[in-house]
Amino acid sequence: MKTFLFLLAAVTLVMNACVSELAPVIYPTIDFEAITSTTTPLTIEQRAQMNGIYILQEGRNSFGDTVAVRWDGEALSIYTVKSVSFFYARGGMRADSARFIGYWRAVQGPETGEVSLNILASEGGKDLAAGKGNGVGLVLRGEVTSPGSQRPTAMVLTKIKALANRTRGFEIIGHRGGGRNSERLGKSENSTELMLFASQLGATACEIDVYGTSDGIPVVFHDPTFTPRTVRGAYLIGDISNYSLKQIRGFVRLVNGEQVPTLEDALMDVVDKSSIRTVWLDNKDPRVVDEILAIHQRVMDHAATKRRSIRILFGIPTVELYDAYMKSPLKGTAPVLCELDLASVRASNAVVWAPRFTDGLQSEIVEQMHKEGRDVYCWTMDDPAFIVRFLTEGDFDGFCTNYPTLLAALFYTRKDLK
Amino acid sequence: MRTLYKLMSLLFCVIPICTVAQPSDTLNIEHYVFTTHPLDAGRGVFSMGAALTILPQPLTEYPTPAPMLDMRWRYGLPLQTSIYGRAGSNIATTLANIGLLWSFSIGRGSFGVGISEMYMYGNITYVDGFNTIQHRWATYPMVAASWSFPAFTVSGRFEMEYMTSQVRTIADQTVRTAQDQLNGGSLTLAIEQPFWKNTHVSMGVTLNYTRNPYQAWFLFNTFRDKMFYPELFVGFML
Repeated sequence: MKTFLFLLAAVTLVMNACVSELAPVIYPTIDFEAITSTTTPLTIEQRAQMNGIYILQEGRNSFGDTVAVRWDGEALSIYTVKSVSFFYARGGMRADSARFIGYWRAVQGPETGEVSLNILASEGGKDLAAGKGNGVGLVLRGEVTSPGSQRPTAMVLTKIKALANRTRGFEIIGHRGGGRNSERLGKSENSTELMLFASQLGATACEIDVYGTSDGIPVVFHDPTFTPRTVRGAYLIGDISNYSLKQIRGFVRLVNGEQVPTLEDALMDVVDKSSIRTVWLDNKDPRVVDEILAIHQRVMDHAATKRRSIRILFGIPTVELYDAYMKSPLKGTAPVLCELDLASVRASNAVVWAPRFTDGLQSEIVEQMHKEGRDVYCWTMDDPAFIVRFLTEGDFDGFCTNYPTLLAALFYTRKDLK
Repeated sequence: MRTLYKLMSLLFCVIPICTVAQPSDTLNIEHYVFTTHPLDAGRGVFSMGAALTILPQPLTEYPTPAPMLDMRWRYGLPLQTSIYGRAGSNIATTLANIGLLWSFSIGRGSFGVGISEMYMYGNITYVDGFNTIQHRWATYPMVAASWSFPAFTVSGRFEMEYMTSQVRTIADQTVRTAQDQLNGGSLTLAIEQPFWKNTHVSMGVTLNYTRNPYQAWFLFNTFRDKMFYPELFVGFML
């Protein structure tokens, strides 16, 4: 009997060590060069013509009835509510037709697969090539592969109308640069690579976390310490603030192999290489407030030379940050996003108030903030039921989410937005 | 934290090993809650103890233990049936479960099928920032088996979890966040044996494989992946 009990003890201990990890996602390898070298890139007008709400004639079982199609730079993106999937495709025109290839990924699970889509000349290709019309009736026809399925399945979608929008504008804010490591996006949370990819996930903005190193350099990182959740190996132990940038660069890689980015490098890359229009700095370290504000100024100067329109918000999430900001000689040089009470929002002259979504719609306060010329962003919205409720009954100017794909799909395809 | 959990789990198993009573010719099954041996009609068994799990790290990001006061009971009915149930609470999560079991014995072995319904109430409005209340209903069909040795009884249960309703309230907003969803399943392995004088002890592990662990209800989980996590329990039948 004791043998049996010891066996149970051993099994229990082994089970403890086996507490769940999410299955890794293996993205398909797509030869984008093969398609971009044999097609003509769409013009900005042609891309705008393709953007819209599409209904699915084929592929509903996997991706639902309605999806949002939206170009971002050179990439054609599709966002679905059902299965919360994004499509990333490249391609262009071939005479009176168009061809796109890429992959799709369901971001709340491990599923991914390849996609190929065509626009035939007779199904809108001719009008697209000529730049005629608004694209309604245009048909994307092709197929997708799915994990575990031997044969591709058909996917046919038809544009029915333009993407929904909001008069005041709306920010789809990717949390931690676009999503957490647990979303398995192939790019680490708070990495420059993820920030540059965020718009393909549906984000128009991203929230990033900022700590300071021992030599006072702001870096983009979420946790106060290095852990297996965020970095490979465990070569550095303890607080980030104990280590210099050189030590961090020498011993730490993010879970997908990237460097821990400095705030300045990351923001410069976002300005130069992405279409992100707002960056929310979720500042964690009151010691480096002055350095962050100085970086903000340099990055905005750089953006001005590039004629790049971008808003970088200095986040105040805690009383400690608030106190440090109010004492800073650089106070007032950056637009502020304040998560604290309304008195702090007003005292810091914040341009954005950012309450938790668990505080509810707060319609009267939101209206008051709008009257005072401030935007209101809500965080962190991941549940579709709450997103729909807040989109339709609230009057927020943006949501921070771990699933910009889901929020984009819900936002662009809703009918009853304010 | 995980080291602490491993130490606790070791204690969960070692303490009862050290207190095993002498082998007996009687099966002692009338004292046990997990066994599927039919209980005499009108006889009840009650167990009180604790359950402990570490929540799946993809959800919590950091190892987060979730202890719970855990009570289980069983009451014999005619026709080899019994009602069984569980109640537990750690303030943030409170649950009550009641079900019906039909079982039969063959020698020292016994087998049964059952079904139970669970109501769970979650409330962490008192924790800054969460401000969330949840009501959840779930159905658990079950197959179970037991085998009695002279000094102890081993039982196994396999349960599916079918979540019929999950309603969440934050501030002034209430939404239904899940409905009619096969959430996952669990395998429970339990040992029950005499402990001290007329008291008996049950201990074991439930190996959960679910999408939306009830212990992590407040995390607004959106993963479709099912996650594995064990839950240890020990109870004393007085």
